[in-house]
Amino acid sequence: MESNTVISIKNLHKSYKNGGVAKPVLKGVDLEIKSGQIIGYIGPNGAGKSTTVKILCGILSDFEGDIKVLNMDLRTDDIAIKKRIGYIPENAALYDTLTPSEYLQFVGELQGMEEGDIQTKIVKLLDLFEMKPHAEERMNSFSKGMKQKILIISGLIHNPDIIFMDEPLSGLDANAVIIVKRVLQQLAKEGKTIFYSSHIMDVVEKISDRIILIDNGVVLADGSYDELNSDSNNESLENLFTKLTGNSGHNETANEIINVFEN
Amino acid sequence: MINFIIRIIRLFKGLFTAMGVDYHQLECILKIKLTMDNRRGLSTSAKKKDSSNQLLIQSFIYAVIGILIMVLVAYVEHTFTAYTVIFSMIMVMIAMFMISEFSVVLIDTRDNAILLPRPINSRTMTMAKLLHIAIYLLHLSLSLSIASVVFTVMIYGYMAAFFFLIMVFLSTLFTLFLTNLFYLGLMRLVNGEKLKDIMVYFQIGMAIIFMGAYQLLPRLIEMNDLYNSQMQIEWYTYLIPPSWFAGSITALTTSVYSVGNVLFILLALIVPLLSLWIIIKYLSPKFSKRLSQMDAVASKPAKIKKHKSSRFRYSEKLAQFLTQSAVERTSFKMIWKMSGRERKFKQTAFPAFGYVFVIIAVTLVRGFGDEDQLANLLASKRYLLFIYFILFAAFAVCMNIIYSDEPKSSWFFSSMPVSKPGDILSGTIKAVLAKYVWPLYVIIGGLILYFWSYQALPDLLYAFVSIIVITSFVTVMQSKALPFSKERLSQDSGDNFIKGILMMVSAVIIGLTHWGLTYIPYGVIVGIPIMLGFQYLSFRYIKGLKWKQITS
Repeated sequence: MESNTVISIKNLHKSYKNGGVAKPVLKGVDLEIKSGQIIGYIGPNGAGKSTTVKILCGILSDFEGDIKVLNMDLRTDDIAIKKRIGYIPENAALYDTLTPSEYLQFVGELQGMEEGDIQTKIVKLLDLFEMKPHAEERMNSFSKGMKQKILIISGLIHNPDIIFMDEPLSGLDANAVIIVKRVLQQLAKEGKTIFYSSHIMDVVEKISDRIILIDNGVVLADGSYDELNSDSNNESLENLFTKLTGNSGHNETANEIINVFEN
Repeated sequence: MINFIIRIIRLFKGLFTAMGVDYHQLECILKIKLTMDNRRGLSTSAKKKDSSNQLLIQSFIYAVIGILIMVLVAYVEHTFTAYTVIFSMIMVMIAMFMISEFSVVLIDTRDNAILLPRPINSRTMTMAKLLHIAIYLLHLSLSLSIASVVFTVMIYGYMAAFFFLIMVFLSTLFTLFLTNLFYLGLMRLVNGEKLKDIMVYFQIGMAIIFMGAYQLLPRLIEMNDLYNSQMQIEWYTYLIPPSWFAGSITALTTSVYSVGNVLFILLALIVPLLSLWIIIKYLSPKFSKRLSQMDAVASKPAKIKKHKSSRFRYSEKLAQFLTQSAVERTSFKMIWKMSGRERKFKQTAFPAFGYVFVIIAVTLVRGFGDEDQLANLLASKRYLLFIYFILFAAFAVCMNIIYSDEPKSSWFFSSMPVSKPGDILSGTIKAVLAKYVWPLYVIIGGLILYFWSYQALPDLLYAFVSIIVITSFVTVMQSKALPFSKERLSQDSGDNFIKGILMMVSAVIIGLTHWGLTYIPYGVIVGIPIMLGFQYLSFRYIKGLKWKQITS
């Protein structure tokens, strides 16, 4: 592994058992990710994106293959790795009967942060995300976007070296999206690695240094947007995605839908 | 309460640290989990300060149940029998509580996204989970056994009470082991959603069992027999866990250390401690692993539950027959389908159906006591009581139909171009009547016709209409909310209790009116068209409701 490689995945396989039948989700994924990169990890529904992220974050432990994160083996050094990574999940998974202050304090303590540091960061980050007025309200009354902001803060509060994000911008308003995008770019400049899994192509296209397309558990394409676009005529990532995943005929489907309404 | 529990756990800080647990993280997780449990069911708009203390309320309820158990066994002369009953009750209650009340806490898949990506070692994670459960179970078992401790002190002294508490602790550990096995077995067989469904049926079953036991046991058991009974110790007694603890207490209080008694003590000590070791070493990690897979599997496309094609279904035909407008029909069909799938609705409404049968069974058990009693029963109009017991179930379904697991999804009602929301409510009432109340009526009516013959027919017909009238009227009077549109909050309980009492009073009034009519010649027969008139008026009122009258 090269010195600035922060994630190394070799021959990663994972299957889920459902109703006694094992269904393979990842079928031999190989990746090398360097520090300071923003990785756009894209793919259709059920491609294996979230599973990859969950494995890298130590949520799913029964996988096959070798994974090294920050030069440590994920199977044996998971605790040390978890201290240095942040995870922002897809669904607003929060203990929502808590207030943002209580929740973030809890996360900070689990990450081993100093008490004073936790408090300072909570106050500052809640203020920057315009959540200060809601700091002492229970989160079960929050909108999806408000919960998403708390999730983003909880994934960043301990200043991790690698940030795994699974659809992090869903539910956020336009201003918050712009802020988060800038934050990610700034963090990458500081040498942090961002593993960004999403369906929203235009965001991935704009912020990613490198795009990895996964479909049916296999990496179909890997490279910068320009590299992926080299054979095409300045196509959007959306069109490239369609081509690479072999899904065409979107226009025909759209027309058929319109026909259903009109007839 | 939470601080008190944490302070007690802090006493064992050294022990936990020696076990490789990160004590700071452990305390942190426990504090948060207990805080969340304390807020379960409270209003979403509530601010940080907790408006109630669920844990203390629960303690009080279980202490009262403990007193009831004590009243049952206080006069049992045989020590071994008395303590076997006590430990059986405690163990069954703990197991039922684990399955019914604690499943939500235990199978909280949010932990996967919140705790698993944090740097928490597996020992800390396992210990946090175990302590969280143990706190609940001990709190429950100690609340349940307060009365028994007092009893033990009074009869056998302080030392015996101390041993009793140790036995309570050990029996709790063993029950924890058994319920862990139960959960793991279930998780092997079914996925997350199915597991939640099974838990709901357990809760329903538990509610019915408690009601049944409360009503039936005192009638079935001749109390004097229990007081004078002496459980004989056979070889199989050593296979019944409550008797290990009861045998140990007996040995310690009587100072008789026979081979049998020593065996009881050994079993009471070794088996629970061995089961604790198995839990820590094997079951808990397995449990966490299964839990971590649960929402991952749930997010993958699973076998899709197919529902029968709806074209020729019974509900479709009923909808055509019973409803007048398209909105009413749509509402009828939707409620018919959704009410069978909404867990919260099933959990709160279905036990009432069990109660109805339990109450009828109790009355019949009494009635069939001897021939004279049976003759008296059949000569009486007691069946009116049976038929109006149906209102108990009818009110339960109508009162709970407004609550949902996902109240926010009721937005579509107000987004639809519906000018008469009353049609939605009338469709709802008709659906619950047709799906839940009328089948019950057919069963009970059939039983009545079997025992009391055709002479009961006019009463059955009158009761059929009056049940519809009172159910529809009372439902709309108590709440004009749309179906599945409200979140159930613990603050609603008091309100619902008063509403429940008022509903019961109205049921008694309508039942007494019917009973009064039986004394007037042709009173019941004349009453039928009058009731039909009321039914027409009641549905006309409901259908005429406007949007501004609907509670959101």
